[in-house]
Amino acid sequence: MKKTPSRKPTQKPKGAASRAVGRVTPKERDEIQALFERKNGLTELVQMLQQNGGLDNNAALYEKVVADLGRTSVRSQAWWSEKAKAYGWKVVAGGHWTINFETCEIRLDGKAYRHEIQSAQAD
Amino acid sequence: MLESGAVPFCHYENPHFHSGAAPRWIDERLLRGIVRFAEENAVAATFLFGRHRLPAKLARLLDSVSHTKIVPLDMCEIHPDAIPVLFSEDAALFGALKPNPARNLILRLARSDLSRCAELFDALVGKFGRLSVHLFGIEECDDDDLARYADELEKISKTLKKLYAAGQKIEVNVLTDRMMLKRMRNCDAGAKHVTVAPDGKLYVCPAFLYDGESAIGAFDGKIGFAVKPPSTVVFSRAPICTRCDAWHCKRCVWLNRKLTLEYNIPSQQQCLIAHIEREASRRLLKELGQTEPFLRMPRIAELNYRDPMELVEMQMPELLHSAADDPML
Repeated sequence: MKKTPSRKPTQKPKGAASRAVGRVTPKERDEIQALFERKNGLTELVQMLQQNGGLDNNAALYEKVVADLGRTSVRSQAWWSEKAKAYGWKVVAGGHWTINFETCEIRLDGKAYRHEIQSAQAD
Repeated sequence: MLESGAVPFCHYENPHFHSGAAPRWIDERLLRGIVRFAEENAVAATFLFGRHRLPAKLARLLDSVSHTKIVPLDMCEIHPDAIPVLFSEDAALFGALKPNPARNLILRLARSDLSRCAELFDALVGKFGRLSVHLFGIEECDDDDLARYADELEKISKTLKKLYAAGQKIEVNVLTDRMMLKRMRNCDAGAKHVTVAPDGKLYVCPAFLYDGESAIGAFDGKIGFAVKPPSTVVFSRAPICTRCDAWHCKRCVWLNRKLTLEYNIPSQQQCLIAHIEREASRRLLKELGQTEPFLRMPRIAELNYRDPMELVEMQMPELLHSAADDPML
């Protein structure tokens, strides 16, 4: 089965193998940026709830946030799958796509990232 | 549009152009119908190329009709008669462009490269007779960007003065078009021309296709263009633009629609940019005033507003008062 690359909207570290594979429209960029920011916000909220020991008092809120985080992740994955299919972006095993929110450019970060991706996934 | 990855040459983006995927070409029968229609009705045809070499059978069809080609930079060797589109972010490649003082060039200037506008212009001098600068990312321009753009136009004006003094005859749309116009001359997409997508559907312009807007019709080999553009794309139905004298303004109906949700109402950014260009043209013309052919061009008036919306407010304050009194607002 073909493995779908993981996606991380991050800046490219220096010296890593990376190449531009496409672009999206500003409207499409706005869609994924909104999802990315929502995901970040929800993740922070989950951490806050966990750190402040508020889970006992806010169990219902915690469940809601986690459920929303899940839905946001699914929508984010769906965005990448849909755009990759529509625009035919290149794929490599173990690679992942990144987006530059400033320029709307999509880059494929290749094997040089394998270790980092695995670390990120382990997190 | 000859392929799905046709080069974006104006304010919009075409993600298919930047993709490495195989292109979806226009159907041969559809192209034959368009070419025949253009021939029989003396319609001016412009073909948008992508990064891929046109299949021979499609290329032969194009040869049978008079037309203009718009191509990406990497295709201008194959099509020396075409108008190349340069992206400001690819400035390192501009050196590959051979000198040609008669060529038309399009420079798609990204908002992030606004401060390099004069530098890019300098790099292109000698390679064009007419340069059309199209700003990309207008929708995100802030006051700093606008000030930067005004500064850059000032620098280009100084270079132009020197070039004119040396006898060169070149045009830069954002600085010289306004001088030569006596009335509005906008893009007029949807009113005077339409775009045929590779699948035969018709759009006001290519930007509408990539922005997910509905088609306004379809090309039919027997009846030609079955098209019904929105009635508000015509100039006479643009209440702000009809009061404006930035006659060179693109009056981009796609940006209008995107930023104000109306085809006939421009955003503040568009108006401010057009007036920065108008003011730069006014100052340049004033300085060139005593030399030919500028001597014969009508002076451009100095304005006390930067946005025609201010003019509307000045002329019809009662509209604003009545709006302020509206209990629903």
